[in-house]
Amino acid sequence: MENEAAQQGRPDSIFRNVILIVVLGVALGLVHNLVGLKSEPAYGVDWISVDRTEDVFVLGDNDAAGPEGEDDVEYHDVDDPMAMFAAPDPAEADLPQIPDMDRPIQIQLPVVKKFFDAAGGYFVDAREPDEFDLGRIPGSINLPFDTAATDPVLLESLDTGGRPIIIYCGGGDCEVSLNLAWLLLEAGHTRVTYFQGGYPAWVQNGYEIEGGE
Amino acid sequence: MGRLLRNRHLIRICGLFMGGVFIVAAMAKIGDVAAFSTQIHNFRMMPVSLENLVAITLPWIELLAGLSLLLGIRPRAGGLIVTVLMAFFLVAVAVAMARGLDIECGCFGTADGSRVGLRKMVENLGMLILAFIAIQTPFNREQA
Repeated sequence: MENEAAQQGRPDSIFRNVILIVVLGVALGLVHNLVGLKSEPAYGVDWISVDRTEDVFVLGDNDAAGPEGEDDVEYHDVDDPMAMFAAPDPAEADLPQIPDMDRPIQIQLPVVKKFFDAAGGYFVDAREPDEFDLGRIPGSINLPFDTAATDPVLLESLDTGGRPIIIYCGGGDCEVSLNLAWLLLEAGHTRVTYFQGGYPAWVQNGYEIEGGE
Repeated sequence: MGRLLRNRHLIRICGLFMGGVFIVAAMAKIGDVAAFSTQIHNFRMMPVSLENLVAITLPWIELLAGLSLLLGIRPRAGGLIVTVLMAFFLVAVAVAMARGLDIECGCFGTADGSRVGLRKMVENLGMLILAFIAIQTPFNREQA
């Protein structure tokens, strides 16, 4: 019996069964996805994926961006470059301008610091509550990705006071922030930025934090 | 130790546990293929063009391997797949940590929302050991 052979560990039958499971699994997956693609709304995904990070807008020259730094902003995919800028708010006069776009905007520490100093940004901490409690950028609210993903009403109800949203997370390329940024855009918010480098970069530079007592 | 590894009850319990874990994890991923694909993308370990294919097929292989362990149908083949996958997941989490990626683990789809980190590594290591026990040949009286 094949089963007994497997029990006694004859390698050839184990590998045959491994191949059987893998082939069957692949076949089931492909069929399931095919059915899903035909459903409405589509439940499956395309066979081949596209690089979603290419959809991100990177705010140019983060070191010098200011009212004079506008030239450093790249204008791709926009017919009228100036149209995407929101009417300048007096309170934001000295701040780098964040274009009003339908995709997340990546910003870096110098820009984040300017917004922090001028209280011109709506800071969102995408990390888990325990990390948030241990220390955060002062004035930020805690919105972990998994909370946000399950609570669209909460996302829509955020009152940013017209300020751009600045999302940060636990460092690296902040992909959690990026995913949260897409959720916020889908919820109807505009000027959604995420801070590459996140909280570690903020702390490393010795900037002010709160919490963690 | 060798005797313990050949205890058929221990082997069975490890198999049942890992089978259950893999079935739960697989169902969560099958439920939202698009989210799982994004999570794979965040690990940055494979060509973009392959991500959706892996997201489509891997959960089903997990499901069948889990069922095989849980139901005891060709359990050593299922257990071998589970062991290899656990080893791979362990490496993936370690690499993501080493590269400083702050990403969702994707281990159980979006259901648990857990991040990669030291805790995840310990969990994975523990499950790798259980999976390894599950593929041991039970103690056999004739051989004693």
